[in-house]
Amino acid sequence: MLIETRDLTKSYDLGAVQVDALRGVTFGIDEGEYVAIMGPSGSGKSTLMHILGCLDTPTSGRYSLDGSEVSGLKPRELARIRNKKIGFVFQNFNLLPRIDLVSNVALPLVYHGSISRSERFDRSKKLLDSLGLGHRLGHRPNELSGGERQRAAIARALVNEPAILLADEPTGNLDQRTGREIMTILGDLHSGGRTIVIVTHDAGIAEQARRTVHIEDGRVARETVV
Amino acid sequence: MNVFESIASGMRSIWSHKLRSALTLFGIVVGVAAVVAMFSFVGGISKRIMEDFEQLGFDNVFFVSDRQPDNPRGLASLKVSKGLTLQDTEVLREEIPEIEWLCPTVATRIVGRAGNQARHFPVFGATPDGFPILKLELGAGRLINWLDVENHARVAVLGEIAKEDLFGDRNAVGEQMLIGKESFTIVGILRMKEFSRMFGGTGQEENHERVYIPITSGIHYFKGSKSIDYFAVRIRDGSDIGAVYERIHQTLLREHRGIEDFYIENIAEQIAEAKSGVERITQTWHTILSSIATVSLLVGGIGLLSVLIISVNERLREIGIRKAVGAEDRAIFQQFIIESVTISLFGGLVGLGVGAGLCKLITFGAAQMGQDFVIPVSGAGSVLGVSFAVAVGVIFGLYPAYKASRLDPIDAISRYA
Ligand SMILES: Nc1ncnc2c1ncn2[C@@H]1O[C@H](COP(=O)(O)OP(=O)(O)OP(=O)(O)O)[C@@H](O)[C@H]1O
Ligand SMILES: [Mg+2]
Repeated sequence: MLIETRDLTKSYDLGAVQVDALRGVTFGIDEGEYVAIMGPSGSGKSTLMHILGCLDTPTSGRYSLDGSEVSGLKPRELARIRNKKIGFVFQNFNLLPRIDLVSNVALPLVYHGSISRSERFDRSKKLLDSLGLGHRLGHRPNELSGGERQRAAIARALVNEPAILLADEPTGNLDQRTGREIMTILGDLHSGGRTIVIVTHDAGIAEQARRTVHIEDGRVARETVV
Repeated sequence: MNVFESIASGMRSIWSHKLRSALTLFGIVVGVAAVVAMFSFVGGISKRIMEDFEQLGFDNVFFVSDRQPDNPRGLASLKVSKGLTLQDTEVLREEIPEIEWLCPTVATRIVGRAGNQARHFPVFGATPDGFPILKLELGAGRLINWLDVENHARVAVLGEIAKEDLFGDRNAVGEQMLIGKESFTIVGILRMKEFSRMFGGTGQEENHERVYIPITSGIHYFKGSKSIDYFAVRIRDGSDIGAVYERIHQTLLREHRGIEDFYIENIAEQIAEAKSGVERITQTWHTILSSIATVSLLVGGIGLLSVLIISVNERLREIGIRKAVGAEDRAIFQQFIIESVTISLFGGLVGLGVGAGLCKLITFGAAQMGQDFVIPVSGAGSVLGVSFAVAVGVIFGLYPAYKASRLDPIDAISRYA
């Protein structure tokens, strides 16, 4: 199994009250799977994705990624995992506004350690080309449409050849047509062998995935497999 | 991210916040400019004073002069010692190798006359050594030479003022003049040196009101006895002033059979003390200036600190994104420290430019007012100023960089939204 979690919990201590965002999530994802995560607002989907993406740490429970235990790792080791094994796509793109597209896509390679400038550029350019943004390399993110930005964000998530692509509502900020475009890209990537986990509110989009995990109130409520 | 990319990123962040960067840089620029300018100024002045000391020409000089012995045997002792004589000068020369030049002198005040001009002049019988001791420069003709001394020659060298008194603008070399009743040929004219005004009157006027003739002629024509009035001694550079003084004293005392009918004025020591005084004052000023610089740069540093904190808060999302794609804490730390140092170094270099410009401006301004007052840009001040600026960048960058590096990625990304 690529991902295996066991009784993951996450609580936020807000002084007077304690918010339990996750109350024991146990599930697994195999290599090459395409999984959709659905659930009502506030049910803990993003929290779960952040933990899966090593952007956040669980309050308790176990999480193993690609055969090695992640919970309990130091920040530095988590950074390395984020850098080498995970591609994360955000709802609001999260590109750096002051640098051009190709530099944005190359950003993970900058922190990789040993990749030359020219190789970084070549790899980023190739990805942008394949996503139809070859003519936008030198543009700043704010010069692009939402769909183009999200495509660039996907390129950035893929540039390090991650083991898994995590996307938290990647079409949430896009109109329907552009959203479908992004879903086509993700579908193609899955066909190419990528492991993909996507959070969505859109049942139509979820249908593209073979398997849907329903989260309610911080727990896995049920799973549906097409 | 390597250092160059961090520097480039620092430059970008300076450039994209021009006004804010300018305000931050202002404190550092002023601090560094002040250090450079003030160090250069103090350095320039003290160098100038030192040069004046050199010009003054009394470093390494002793004057040995005649005086009445103040012992109870009174005048009786005069019969035992003959006072200062040419013999003394030969003994000193022989026994004290540190002596570079030694000039016995007889001085009288007597009427000098040329054409229809007449005046009282101090007339000095001296040897060729007298000119280098007093650092007197020849303007025209020649100086007195040893042959003149040997021959009791009736030749004279005039100080520049004495020459002007007698001849005005006219040529004087080769002309005759009367000293008392004796006729002398003028063979040379001295030239006054360019002096800074730092000392006001410099004492060189005195040297140039005189008429110089060979010591032997002085003794022969204008002096009843064989005794001489004083002699000037210049010892070699780097000699131990105190030790040489002691030996001159001992030697003369022996030659004068234990009677202290002479007095050695230790000008060398006085000049050396004055010089080290100037050095001490310069040092003190450097200390004072360094403290002022420290304070002003600390003020600049606080400006830098606040701007960096604002910058970190503004860039939470950027920091979060960088961390999300795999930047380690230390990469973020390095990025912000380098940005901070880039800003402060930039400020330091601009400050250096401004400080150097100020020095040039003062030099130029002085030249406009007809003053030759060059302020060379102080190397020590430049190095100190710029390294202070860099240190400020490092020190005041530490906290913001640390804060940035420790941010939680998700926290940083979502706090922005
Ligand atoms: N940093 C935080 N501090 C306190 N509470 C938080 C924090 N982050 C999330 N929560 C809470 O945890 C719960 C789950 O949040 P999460 O963002 O995971 O929900 P979600 O399923 O992604 O919702 P949505 O569909 O609206 O994105 C919510 O109640 C939320 O208020
Ligand atoms: Mg969410």
